[in-house]
Amino acid sequence: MCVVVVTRVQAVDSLPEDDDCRSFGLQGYDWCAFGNRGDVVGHLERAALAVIRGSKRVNVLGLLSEWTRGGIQIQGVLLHPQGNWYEGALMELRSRNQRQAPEQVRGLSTLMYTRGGGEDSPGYWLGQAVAALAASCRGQNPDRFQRVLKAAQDVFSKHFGALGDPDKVVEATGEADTYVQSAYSSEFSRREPRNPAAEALHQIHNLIGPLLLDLESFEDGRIDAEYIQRAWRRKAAERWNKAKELAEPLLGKEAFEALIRSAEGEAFLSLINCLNSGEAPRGFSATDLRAKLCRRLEEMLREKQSRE
Amino acid sequence: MEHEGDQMAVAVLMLADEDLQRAVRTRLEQCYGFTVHTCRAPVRSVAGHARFAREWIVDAFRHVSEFMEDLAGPNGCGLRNALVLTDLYDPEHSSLETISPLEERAAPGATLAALLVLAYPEVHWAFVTPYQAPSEAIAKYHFVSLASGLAEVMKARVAGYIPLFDPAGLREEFRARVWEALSATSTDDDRARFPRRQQVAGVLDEELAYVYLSGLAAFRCGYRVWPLAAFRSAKAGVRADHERGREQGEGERFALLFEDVFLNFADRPLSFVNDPVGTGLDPEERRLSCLEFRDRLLGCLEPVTRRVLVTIGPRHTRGGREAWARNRRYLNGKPYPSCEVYKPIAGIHRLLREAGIWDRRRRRPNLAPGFSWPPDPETSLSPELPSHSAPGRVLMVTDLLLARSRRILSSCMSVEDAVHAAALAIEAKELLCNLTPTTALEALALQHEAEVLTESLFIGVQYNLDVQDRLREIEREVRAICQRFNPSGFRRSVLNARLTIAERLAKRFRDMNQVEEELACLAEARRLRFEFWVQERPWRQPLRPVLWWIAFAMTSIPKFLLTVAISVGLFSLMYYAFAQWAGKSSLANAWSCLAQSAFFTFTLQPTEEWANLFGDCRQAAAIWQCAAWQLAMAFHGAVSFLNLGLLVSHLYMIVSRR
Repeated sequence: MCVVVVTRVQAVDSLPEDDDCRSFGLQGYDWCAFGNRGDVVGHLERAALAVIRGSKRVNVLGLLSEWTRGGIQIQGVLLHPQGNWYEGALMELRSRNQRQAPEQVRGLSTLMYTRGGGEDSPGYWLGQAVAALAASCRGQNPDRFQRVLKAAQDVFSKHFGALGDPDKVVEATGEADTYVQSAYSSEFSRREPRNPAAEALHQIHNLIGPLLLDLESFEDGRIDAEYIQRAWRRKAAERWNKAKELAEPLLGKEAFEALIRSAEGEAFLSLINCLNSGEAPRGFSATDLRAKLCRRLEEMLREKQSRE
Repeated sequence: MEHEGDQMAVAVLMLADEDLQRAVRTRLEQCYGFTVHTCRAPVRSVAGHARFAREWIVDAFRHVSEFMEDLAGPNGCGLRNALVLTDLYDPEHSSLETISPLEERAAPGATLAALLVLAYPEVHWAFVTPYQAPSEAIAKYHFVSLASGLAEVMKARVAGYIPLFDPAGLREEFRARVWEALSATSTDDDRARFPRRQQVAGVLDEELAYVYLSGLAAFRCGYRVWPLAAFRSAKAGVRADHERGREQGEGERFALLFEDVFLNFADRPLSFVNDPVGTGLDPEERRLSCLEFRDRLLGCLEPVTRRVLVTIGPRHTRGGREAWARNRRYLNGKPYPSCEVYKPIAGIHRLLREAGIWDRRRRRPNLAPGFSWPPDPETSLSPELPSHSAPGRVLMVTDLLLARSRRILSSCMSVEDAVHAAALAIEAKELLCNLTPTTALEALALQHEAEVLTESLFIGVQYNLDVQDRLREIEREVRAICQRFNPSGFRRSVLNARLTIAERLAKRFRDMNQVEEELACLAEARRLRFEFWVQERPWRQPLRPVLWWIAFAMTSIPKFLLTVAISVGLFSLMYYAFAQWAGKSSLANAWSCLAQSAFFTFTLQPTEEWANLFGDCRQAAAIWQCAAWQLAMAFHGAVSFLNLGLLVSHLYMIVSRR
């Protein structure tokens, strides 16, 4: 019996210690790490050894063909969709099945950029799926895995739209019994940044920047309300909340709230509400928001950045 | 978009956040009329581990560069002034100053961006980054901040920002990291041995070809160059950087300024009658050709270290002459030197000579302070480097630069294209720092090929070009590069490289119908070929004077005539000696000897009285004298025959070319 883990080193470095592994039910099984190139395999070997302490054996295999040729009974596959080798792995899966599955690749590529925490995050579902898969493998709770997988799928489709369908990928692999599609949270994926304020500023720019750009295009009459609605419905608030989560602890609750309570802050929040409900924004100037709110936010974060 | 006329504005997006990418794309396409392409580097999977990060960087660089090269198109120019927006952030780095193209241990994403900046100098890089810019100019022209969005960068582009000569100093930031990695120690002395572009030059002209040509001249002397080809860029483009320099006393001002006197920017106001900046000058003086008014209006031109007016000269009217005199008086009252260079110019080297950027003693251009070139072969390099090789990543970048330069040259149609090719080659040459000598020689050859093409294509450069300064420069640089070869093969490799470059230049000149310049290059190639031939076998050494003679005579018709005159003179001395030996005082005078020497040179036969100089040669007493005399005449005959051959060669060259 075997569970194949495809992961990457940052994930491994920050995966749970032994105790947590036990709670996930990962111990006591044979594991394989899977990558599409020699270097990745070496990398994964280190990863697998680091993570699955106490497991019986770690097999590190390179190409998928080796993986199955080795006569290993595949019980489950955990494919961790981050990394350039991952695309290679999918290529391998595709070529083995002599079929193209570009939509799956595209969908999964999208997931690679997904980050976040909490119950709604892919990272959470990864943890759940790992535990469920292990339990399933052990035969203790054969139904749990399917339930978790379904729930994870629902979360994915709700938040990320039409992404790769795990079942299709399972079908594409042919050999694998189970495919857990997952992305994982920033807590798992990233090293501790040298400068949290710089990290936050970059993330906030990525979160708010597109929104402001679209608004500028709308103000210029270059895009219409339908475009805004399509692009930002339900997403604006989510992005703003994430930006808030990043900025608030760094700047301090008071300073941040003062910023938000300012006229520009209130205008910005109204704008978010507007976009979130899919209405075309009226009466807001993206240029003003940039010039006042964003400049102030940027300055505050930069001050923090230089202090660190 | 005021970018090189008909060239379509191209943008490439390499952003991780898909929503940001989509929004930027919409804005660029619909608002600014760009053709937008997207490129995604392979996703990082291995950051944090040196070996995998290293491999990822190479893979990702190749992936992105393939995409970029496709965009550059078959003529290689497609990326000139293209806008590329990408992320520049990595958790491993807390500031831009720590990002190195040669980084080993961390931050592959940021390292990839640094490498791409070096590999695509013609691209306008704009970064979505949380880092603070090291200068106002970089912030303004290359950073997309949350507060400004795309507005600042787009404003710069609309004003005609040309990134090729690294005006804002973005490339210099990453180059400095390369020099740090290459140098054995981190002392200032050690770093000063690398080509650091610390000084800024400006080129103010409404004719883009002159902007590019003068820009190239300053760039090759080690300046970063602000091309100011629009009124907006001249008025506001560099002010931010300037003011910062003034405040901080960094000397960030124009160390050199090439400017046209009569400026007719397309975006300039029709008149300045209203005195927009309150100069208080008379209405007739409120024009851009009045330097005092210009300085006050534009604000960014002073302070300056040297000012060069590249101009057609004063207008031939009374008013024109007066305006000219007024400008001269104005400049004479300034603490910095200034001079005029009249159009058309006789090539890049002559421009530098006339602009006073020339070291007469060493017969080479004066380089910008802080810019050291060619690098001292004794410069102590990091012990981690092989003694003669550039770091692999640098080589990866320079290979791309040179390949693109070659592509541009193969289908070069304009001065801008040729300057583009030259700048890429210069960039590659400097990055290599004469390490990996074969590639460095290729870079040098391409640079000079592109430069001669620039000079030949540009109608603003006079017909006859100055080639000798260029050939001297090539010799100097080739010698510096070849120091990296095995010492036993030094002379051979120098000759080989100089010969190859001279022949390649001759071919370029031939293609452009620059006959005199081609002949000058061929003469150099011939001299080098003779030298090469002599070096191959030691027994050929005695033939060196003859070969030197032939090479000299073949350089040009005047030099050929000079050699004939010298040979006539020398042989007349020989005749004088023989006349003395024969005891014939009637023949032993200057005129008689000279006449005989000339007669024999052109007819290949002696006059009767000289033929019987020693009387009857069958007599035993005169037999040795006769033999010596006949040998001497045979030698003279051989030389004359040779001269005849050289004359025929010259005539053939002239006839076959014209």
